[in-house]
Amino acid sequence: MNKLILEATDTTPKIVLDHLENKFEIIGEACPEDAKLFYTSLFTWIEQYKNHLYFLNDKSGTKQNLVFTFHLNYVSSSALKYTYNFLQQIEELKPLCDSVTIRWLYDKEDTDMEDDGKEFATMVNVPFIIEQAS
Amino acid sequence: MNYLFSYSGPVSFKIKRQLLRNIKSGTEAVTKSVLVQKRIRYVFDEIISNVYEYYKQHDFSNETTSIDGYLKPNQLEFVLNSTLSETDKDILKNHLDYINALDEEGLKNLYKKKLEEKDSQKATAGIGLISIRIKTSNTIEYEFKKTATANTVVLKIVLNLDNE
Repeated sequence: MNKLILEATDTTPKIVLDHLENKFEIIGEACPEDAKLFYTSLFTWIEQYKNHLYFLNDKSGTKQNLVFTFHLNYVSSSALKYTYNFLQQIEELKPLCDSVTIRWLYDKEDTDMEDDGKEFATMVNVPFIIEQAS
Repeated sequence: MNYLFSYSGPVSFKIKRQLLRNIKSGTEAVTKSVLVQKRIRYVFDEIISNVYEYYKQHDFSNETTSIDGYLKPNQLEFVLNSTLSETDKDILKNHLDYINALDEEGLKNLYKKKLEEKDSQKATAGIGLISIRIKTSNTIEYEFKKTATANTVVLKIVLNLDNE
């Protein structure tokens, strides 16, 4: 499978879904014209990654520790809905890994984004680390 | 009247993007609070995105929309005037009456429920106004108007600029 790297634009975040480097990051602003279309590539990638982990476990028996970092400094409501769907898909990786953690970063003063992280932490069965970005 | 912004014309994604850029730079002159700056942008984005999506669905691309931001002491008042199909008037009225009657906890529960809805398209349709209610803590005033050529809705949204 391929890694998924998308550079940030003024309406979409930078995406790094790199299983080779064990680096998973979503950073920037998320207010795409078509949120469904933008997130489809992420959903497709994670489905492929699920299969990849399944075969990896079967072959070597080793399990990964995964940390998905979200540092979104602006999210439109439609993008937030798809972000939630993506978090749900991350949750589905749990049986295939040793651990899965969401690291939710927010900018200084941005209590709205902090609250979104806290809300998501109650909705998705994955440990959240919610902290102010340095 | 002191305006932060005033726009009248069609709404395309390109226009929406340009308006958002203008808003982003304009907010820094209004408040130093990063949170309030983001909320101004957020409310504007949600209003204009709703119009954009609605016009796209109803083939209203040639219709004119106006959106103004009036600066008042410690407040920014958004006033939107956009075309609405007669058949959607009651749906919007009921939705606004419902969310205006909810307290903070009720709004958060409804917002969460919307996020959890399986049908993403349906969920995103109503979530913008709910999140505006949460972020502004104020009710959304509305008025339906009928001209010789169109039915319109006027929404008035007040955002407090003093952060809390």
